[in-house]
Amino acid sequence: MKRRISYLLVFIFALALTGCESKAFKAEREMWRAHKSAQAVYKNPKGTPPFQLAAVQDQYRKMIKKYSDSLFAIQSQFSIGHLYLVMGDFQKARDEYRKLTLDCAKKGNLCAEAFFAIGNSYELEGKWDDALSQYRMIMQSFSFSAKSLDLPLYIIRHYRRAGKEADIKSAVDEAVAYYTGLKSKSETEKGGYILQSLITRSYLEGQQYEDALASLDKVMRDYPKYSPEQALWIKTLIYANRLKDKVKAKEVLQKIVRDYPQSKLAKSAEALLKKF
Amino acid sequence: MAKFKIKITIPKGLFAIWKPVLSLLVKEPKVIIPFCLLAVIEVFALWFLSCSPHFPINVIMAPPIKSIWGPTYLHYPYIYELLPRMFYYAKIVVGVMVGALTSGMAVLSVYYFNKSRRIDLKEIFFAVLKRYVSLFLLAIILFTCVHFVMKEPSVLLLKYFFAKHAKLLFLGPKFWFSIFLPVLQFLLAVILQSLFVYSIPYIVIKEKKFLAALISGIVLFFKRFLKTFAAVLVPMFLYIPVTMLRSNMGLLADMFSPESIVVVLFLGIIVGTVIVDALVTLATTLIFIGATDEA
Repeated sequence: MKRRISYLLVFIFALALTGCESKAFKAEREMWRAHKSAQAVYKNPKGTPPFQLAAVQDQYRKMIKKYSDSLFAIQSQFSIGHLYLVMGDFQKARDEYRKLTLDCAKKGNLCAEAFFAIGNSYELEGKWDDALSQYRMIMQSFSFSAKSLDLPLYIIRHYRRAGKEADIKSAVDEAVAYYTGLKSKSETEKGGYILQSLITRSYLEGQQYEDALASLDKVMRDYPKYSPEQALWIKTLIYANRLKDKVKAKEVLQKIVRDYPQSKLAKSAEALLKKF
Repeated sequence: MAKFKIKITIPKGLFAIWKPVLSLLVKEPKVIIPFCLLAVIEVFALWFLSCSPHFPINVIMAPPIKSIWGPTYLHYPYIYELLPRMFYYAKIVVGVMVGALTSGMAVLSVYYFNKSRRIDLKEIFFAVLKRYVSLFLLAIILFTCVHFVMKEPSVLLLKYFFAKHAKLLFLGPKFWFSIFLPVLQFLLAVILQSLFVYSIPYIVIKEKKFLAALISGIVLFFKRFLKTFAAVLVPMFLYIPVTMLRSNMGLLADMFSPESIVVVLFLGIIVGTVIVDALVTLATTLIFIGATDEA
């Protein structure tokens, strides 16, 4: 009987041990709860009483203290800023985001994200020039980060939404110059290919279709190993949907079928040719 | 030493079976122990699965979860989103491996009680264990049928409405998916369970071979169709609130916390295994004893 009881105790002890959660799992749970409380503020920022905002932010501050130097602390710091942002307290939001911009040499991409959030706060406040200077600073200081590579396109899209045609043109020129400059610094062929593709996208965002076609030709010429049939497919779409030139679109489709018969796009091209 | 008890008489009538079932439960609560055992194993399975992200269980569970559903499901709250699906499969495995045995034990306990024999669960366990292969095969057939028959109507309906049909028999997808499908699935579950329910007593009481027990069970079901159908249907109604909770688990998780999914699944075990399964097995075993004694 005693032996049975000791086996049972060992079993229960083992169960209790496995019930111990990892620190990361606990943090995930606390983070979920904090985000859930924050949802109420995001849904109704104007109707949120100050004590409720403070309570949510307190939850995040506890996370920062408890899990310092972890991703949870960073997310929490961003969330505190976001909460001020939805409440319309832009300066406080920026103060919170700035806490993430310390020690940028180590953090890199994270700093770029924090500066972008600062730029966003200016944008939401209606101070586009301040936002733009933040964005340009990111492009210069964090030139190969994901955020900086997306920013020139983001700026073009901003002008498109605002309907400022002259600014769109200059933003496209600026984007092309920026990507070209980075391309010269890029040490890998893939980097060059990505940057040339971003140049194409800049022209497309700016609705400069002839330039986009020329850029696609450059992609195919300079980087032939990176699925040139995809570049041809984009050319088809530009001819067919934007320039309304069905003859040229058909020519490009025929080229895909002829030159890349094994590719997945060849089948789609054949199907599209039948429709034409 | 044999213990003498009052023999339970099995009355005739569609719903009259519940009186002897309740009296059996009062006079010999031991008959419910096999279902409690199964419930304990199911609770253990639920706890094991909900601990999948934690050491040392993650050593076993993390690789399959990562490769089948992705690493996200090892994190909070996504593990709870995955839990009902994992537990569904675990319940099938436990049902086939252990449920077959515990159902057999319960059936034999009722039979022993009715014959005024002493109920020794250890002895009953070993007696049922001898018939394990047949019970195991029967459980596999039942779970396979339930799994596919329950899924097929929804697949067919999905195919129909994905083929750009707006209506079926003048009714839109809302009716078919929210009213027709749950009712159909419920009735199918009742019919399938009724169809195979007598094969267990044929295996453990009459000691028939697998195929003979299967056929005899189905024949008896058709002979006692209404009585059996009612005996399976009435306890199944108790499971409806759990089904409603289960279909709103996402909402509950959002309202309270993702852990509430574990609570709903636990309630499902208590209601499904300890109450519904026990009542169905006891009632149908009494019907079986009455029917075969008459014969």
